[in-house]
Amino acid sequence: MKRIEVDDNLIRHICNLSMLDLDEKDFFKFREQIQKILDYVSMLDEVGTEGVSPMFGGIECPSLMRMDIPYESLIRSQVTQNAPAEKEGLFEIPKVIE
Amino acid sequence: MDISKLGIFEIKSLLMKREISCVELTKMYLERAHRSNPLLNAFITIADESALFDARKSDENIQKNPDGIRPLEGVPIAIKDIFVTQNLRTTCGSGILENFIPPYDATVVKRLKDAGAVIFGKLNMDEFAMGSSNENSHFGAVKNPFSLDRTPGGSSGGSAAAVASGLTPASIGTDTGGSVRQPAAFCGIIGMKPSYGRVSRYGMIAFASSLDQAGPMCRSVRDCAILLESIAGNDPKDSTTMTTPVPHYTEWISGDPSEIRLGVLSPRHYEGINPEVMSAYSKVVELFARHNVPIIEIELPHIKYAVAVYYIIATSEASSNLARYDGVRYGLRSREFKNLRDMYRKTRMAGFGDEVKRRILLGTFALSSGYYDAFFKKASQVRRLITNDFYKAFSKVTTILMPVTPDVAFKLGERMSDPLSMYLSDIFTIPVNLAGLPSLSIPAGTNSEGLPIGVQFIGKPFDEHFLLNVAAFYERESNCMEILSRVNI
Repeated sequence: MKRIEVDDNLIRHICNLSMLDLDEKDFFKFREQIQKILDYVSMLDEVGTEGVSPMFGGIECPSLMRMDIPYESLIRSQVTQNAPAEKEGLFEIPKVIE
Repeated sequence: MDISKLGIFEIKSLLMKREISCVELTKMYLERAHRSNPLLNAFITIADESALFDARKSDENIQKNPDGIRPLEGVPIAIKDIFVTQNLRTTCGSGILENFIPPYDATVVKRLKDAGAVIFGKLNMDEFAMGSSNENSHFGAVKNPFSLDRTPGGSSGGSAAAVASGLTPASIGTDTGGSVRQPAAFCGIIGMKPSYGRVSRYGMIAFASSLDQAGPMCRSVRDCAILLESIAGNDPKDSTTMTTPVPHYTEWISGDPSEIRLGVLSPRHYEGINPEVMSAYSKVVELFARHNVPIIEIELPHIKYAVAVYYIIATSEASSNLARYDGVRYGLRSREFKNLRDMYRKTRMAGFGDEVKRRILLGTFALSSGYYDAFFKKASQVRRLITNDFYKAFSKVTTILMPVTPDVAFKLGERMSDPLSMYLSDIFTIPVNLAGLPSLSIPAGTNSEGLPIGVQFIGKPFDEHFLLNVAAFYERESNCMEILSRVNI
């Protein structure tokens, strides 16, 4: 695989996807650090993985479903007790539709 | 009474003999927690009021029903601040959760409480468990009780420092890439990462969901068995917990060496590691050999790729898990913003520390369109090869012995500017998480400066009982826990 060049556009793109706005100092620091880390992980290229099925979980067993039995859940005031802004039992956010 | 050298078993005995009440004992731990914190910074939150309330209830229970005492009745325990605790602040070491008061208990917390434990504090940690030195905590670094200018390790650094100093008789930490075992090794205590699926992750704030696992951090193998027995087992609220029966771990600590076949890696795996760590490790091998335990050389050809695999998989899962911190339902919300997206961005920039941002960016990259196959999928395939290596080794041996870390506790500040060098210190712990195996870290003496060195016993999936037996044998024959007599906090 070709070496990934971590340029400004790439960092801007992943910042945008991550909902993070780096200031100039962090932008360059992270760009360099991420370049160094990606250069390191490129060692995986030397491992032959054709036909190897990816291991996505910590254990190879099907997830267990729980019985469909209703049980007591949190009440609304508990769910919203940590909300930075709450109105009439709902989470309040800035207006999104003009 | 000096409580600083007591573990769960000793405390339980004192309580049962009525030599002390739960309230008296809890007051002593609370007082020590307050007094030590300016020095070690092990606690983020000390729960004076709720702990004393629970201690009074335990005293009543012992009074009313002396024959039906629960396994941890009245034992004060402080836990890593990653487990949500009902009505008790839970921060996960992050500014974004600085004032978060959970409305429910994590399953681990519920099980500890059901077993009678008195939760009296929440212990410091790297933010969202991302770190190997505890320096990434929003609440400041923890000091190593063996040397105050050194890191206690991380991310469960507060737990390790507190157990080693006797600020809590034991603790529960979490281990995603070594976060129980590495701080345990740096602070001279025992730490266990159970098999993936052995302990519920419900209410344990998520970092990397296919790797995270909670485990005991203790002063003795017996305490480790007591705690694991209390927290392990299927939980309908975590679909990855297995229904495999939970053995009575406390019946597996006789330390019988007859069934052990010990696997050791060939020396080429250990190039570049600290010679004092290597020498301590070799002495452990010799001890087992002296007792006629077969020592069998094994190969794990892919573990050299483990750090690279881990920093793709763990960051990918983290980038997804941490998307939930958006300033809407809980946690911090930035005060000034122009619109909803701006609120998300400003909140996340203000609430997360550098390491968390770095990992979110890396993980987002590895999962992003055009890079997924080359990074996330590739890493997940190599993860399979690493796991296969272990399974192959376990066809020949019952237990694998490895060092926990390539070096002893490093100085605070020493590795903060170079994340990659920090990541590489996890080279021996990470493969175990990738393969979902259980592993127990235990002291193996000190270096010439008196800093603890740790080794780990790695077992087959759900073989925790056998690991405890191996560790109990080693603990008895080596007298390794004598190391804690040197701590004086």
